[in-house]
Amino acid sequence: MRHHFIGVLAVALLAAGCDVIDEPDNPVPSVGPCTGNGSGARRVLLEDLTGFRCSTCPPAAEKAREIQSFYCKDVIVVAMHVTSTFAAPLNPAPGPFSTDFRTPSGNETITTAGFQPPNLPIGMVNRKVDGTLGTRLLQHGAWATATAAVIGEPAQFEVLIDTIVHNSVSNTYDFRVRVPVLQDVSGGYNLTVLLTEDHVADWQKDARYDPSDLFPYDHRHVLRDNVNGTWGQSIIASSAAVGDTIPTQYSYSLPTNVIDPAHCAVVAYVYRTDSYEVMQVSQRELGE
Amino acid sequence: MQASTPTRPGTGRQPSVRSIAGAAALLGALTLQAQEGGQVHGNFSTDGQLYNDDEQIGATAPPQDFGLNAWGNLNYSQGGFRAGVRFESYEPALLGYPAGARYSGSGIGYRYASYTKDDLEVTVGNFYEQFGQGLVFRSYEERYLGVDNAMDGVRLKFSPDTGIYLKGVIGRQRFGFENGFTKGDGLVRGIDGEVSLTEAFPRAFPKWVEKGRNLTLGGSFVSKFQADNDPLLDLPENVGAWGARANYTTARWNLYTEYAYKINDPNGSNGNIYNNGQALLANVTYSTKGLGVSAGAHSYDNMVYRSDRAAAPFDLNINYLPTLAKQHTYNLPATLYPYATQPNGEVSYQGEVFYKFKKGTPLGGKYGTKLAVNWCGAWSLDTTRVMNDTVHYLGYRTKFFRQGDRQYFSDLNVELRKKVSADWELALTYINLVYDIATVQGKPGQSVIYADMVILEGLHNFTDRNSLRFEVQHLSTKQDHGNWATALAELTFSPHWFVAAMDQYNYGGSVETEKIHYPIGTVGYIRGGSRFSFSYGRQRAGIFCVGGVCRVVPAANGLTASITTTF
Amino acid sequence: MKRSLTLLAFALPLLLAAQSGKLPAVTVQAMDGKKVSTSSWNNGGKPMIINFWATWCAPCKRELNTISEKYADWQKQTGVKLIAVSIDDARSMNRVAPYVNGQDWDYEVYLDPNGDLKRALNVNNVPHTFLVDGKGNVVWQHNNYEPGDENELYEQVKKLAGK
Repeated sequence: MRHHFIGVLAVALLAAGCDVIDEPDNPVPSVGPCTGNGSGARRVLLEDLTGFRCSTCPPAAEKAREIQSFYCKDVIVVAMHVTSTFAAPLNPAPGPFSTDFRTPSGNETITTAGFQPPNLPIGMVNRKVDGTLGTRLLQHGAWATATAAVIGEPAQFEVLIDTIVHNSVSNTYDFRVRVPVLQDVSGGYNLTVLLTEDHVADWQKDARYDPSDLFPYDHRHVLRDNVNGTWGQSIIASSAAVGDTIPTQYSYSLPTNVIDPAHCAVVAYVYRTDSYEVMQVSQRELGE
Repeated sequence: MQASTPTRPGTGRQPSVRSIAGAAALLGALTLQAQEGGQVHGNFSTDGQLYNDDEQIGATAPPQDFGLNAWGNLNYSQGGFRAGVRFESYEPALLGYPAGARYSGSGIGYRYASYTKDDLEVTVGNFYEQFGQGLVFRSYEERYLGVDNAMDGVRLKFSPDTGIYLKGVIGRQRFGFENGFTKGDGLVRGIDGEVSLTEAFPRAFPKWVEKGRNLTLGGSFVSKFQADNDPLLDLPENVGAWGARANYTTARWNLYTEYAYKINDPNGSNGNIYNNGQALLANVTYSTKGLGVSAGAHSYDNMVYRSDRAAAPFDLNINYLPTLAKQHTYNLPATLYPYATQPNGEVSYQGEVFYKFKKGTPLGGKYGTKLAVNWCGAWSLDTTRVMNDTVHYLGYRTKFFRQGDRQYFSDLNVELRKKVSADWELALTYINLVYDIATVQGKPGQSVIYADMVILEGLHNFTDRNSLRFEVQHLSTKQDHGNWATALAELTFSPHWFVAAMDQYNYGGSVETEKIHYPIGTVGYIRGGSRFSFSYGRQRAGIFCVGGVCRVVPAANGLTASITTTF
Repeated sequence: MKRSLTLLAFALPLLLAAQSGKLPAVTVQAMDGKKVSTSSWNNGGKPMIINFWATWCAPCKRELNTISEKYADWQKQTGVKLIAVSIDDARSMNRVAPYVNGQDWDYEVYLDPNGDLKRALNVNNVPHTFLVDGKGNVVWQHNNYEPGDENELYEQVKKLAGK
């Protein structure tokens, strides 16, 4: 018997051990399930940790865009430019690579335990820690799988960003964020509100091209500032019940790094303070 | 037995002492039992460090000001039965340890049981294994790097006839440690066969048998499984790799070659491309009394092979891609700019000569002289990027074994070693290094390092038990941190004691850096299978490399204690 | 807990006297690529030294080179045989044969690239030397090498050989 055991194992392995794939794109509709705001389903915050001098980063940005277009607007992308190696300006303005895309909140995030990127590009999907790898910082090949695992699940919260009003006297943007509680929850929860700017034309290194310095490169969903601090504000200290709604109010002046307010959006998300996992997220453009 | 502890067992007020006594009693009992039939053996080792803050060298003490790694193995054997367990403790782990996934807490890091009957060996639990030189499969432990990808599963080894060896393995790989080892997501399965021709078929090769020649042929197949839940892409759930190898030996020659091929395996390290991978290595050695010559070459193309597509570089590697670069033993060349294999694409060559000038010859003198010359060079693989490939996601095209333009590394070193009198021995080493730090250490934008090193080592025996050994090392470069000088002196009182003092001095050369000294002193005591050593001082940040990646050990200032024992 | 662990760490090696025991039967690789079981190792009832070393280990090479110069005398006086087990792995095992010959050693040399024998004998680090009596029992061991240690080793060999 044992004489044949390894032989049988060998044949079985050779037959079953190889999935040769010629055309990797899944034969599925190009648009996935889109539930939209207010449906009671979870949306996903995809944070792309990147840098304009990181020449292997553009494929990650493209992957984020693919995932976003697959799930309509149920995936909200934030590009966080970080690290001095990849994001510090190289030349004085107005030379190439002279813009500093980094933000205080981005800098604080990547120096916090559990958020330190081992390399770029890397990203976080709802800031959720991968069960087997034990890290929330995932390479971009793993983003779609991590997104699929949580998107559309029943949500504990909704996040509603009300109409953003521009007050021309104080030159502030005034808006409310309301968080309706959809399930009884216990534990601490914070609400973080931040500002992104889309379609920023600037330099980018891209190793796929020769020369690798590209201009103008279309930087998408660039993190500009945190409205209420790097870690947001506490909205639930220990528990909340179905039917509760937590209202917050902001009067916000745009930071000086914003180029075109019309391309800006407010992103708001609720996360558990013990695990940092983002439970729900919403986005609203300034002019929307 | 208890004489060396301050409190006698049984009267101890501290539970800690009691627990030591308990452990000792247990070991004693096992040992007693061992004399009846089976045997219990094991080992223990620990590295502890007390940290100080030291702004000048960039050393920051962790919140605990303290790190302790400890390992204890216990193995039991009786006849063909063997079982063992390794207890590990990281309370907390030393700074910069391990290389990959986090280790924390205390618990079981490895356990196994195996049984051998006639030609069959069965192992369940953890095991380390490799096929050939590891191009498709190698699970191993490199404790001082913090690399341990032990399998957890089943292994069969079977030898149906003389000179024929079969192996089958299945299991998951060790990943991190959290009060016990954790495992990766992917399942690894492999088979391997090897035949030693003159042993298996002596009558078919009478001439080889007569002349002591042999040819060994081997082949293996490995496959990993990891589920595909990607909504956008069709990811291969089963990724297979096969390897073939041949080793021809005569009294003087040894030819070894191994080839490996891997099917599409998009992963975080290769940019998620669907290219196939392949690797070829070849090595020839010729040696006879007093002379050894070797030459080797290899090419690696897209050969990262991990049981989890998203794993970081040090974690869950299924295969092992050796580098041809010489592993230096002197401090400066070993830990400042060591080379690491570039698994995504590399072409590398190596040559080495060892020669002993005999006693009584003009160059050999009264005691003989030993010469070693070694060279290794590594280049990129010549690839052409496939642009806008949204159908096949191939990433790039390449021709097999074609060297690219970019040089990653070269190391030319010459060592002369000579006993000059009955009580003096000297060794002189020269090393010329080219080091693409941007690629090897992942520091983009940093310029290539060109360095020259000269090292003088001397050993003087005062008596047949007492001696002094010293090293003077110098590295000169205009790049990175500039010049370094190192001096080391070691006094030994065999067989128990040694004291050593070392200073490394980074004095910049033409580079504008602060001038920094790294003094450190060490005392060691050895008794039988046990070794204790204590060091105090500054430790320079160092690089340890394995496979494709380097572990950076941060600069530290403080007290280090190391203990190892085998019983 | 932490303190007791630390105490244990320091006390354990002192509590444990070196144990004797049979040399385990493990498969290693001979220089001609053939697999050899350690159970076939013997020296006709005379003592054997089993030394673990590696091409990347400076003290190991110092030790074996020092003994090499005295080895002929040792063999003549006591009949002892030294078996050098290289723990070089895939990275450097190809360097073992040229190195050994380049140094003009007369030892029996084996490769243990997967660390099977190293683990079976519970070796933590190299160099590590075991002395085995004529019946295959490990009777003495020494970790580390400092110049002069070879004299201590030879004292033990002579004791064992009854010289």
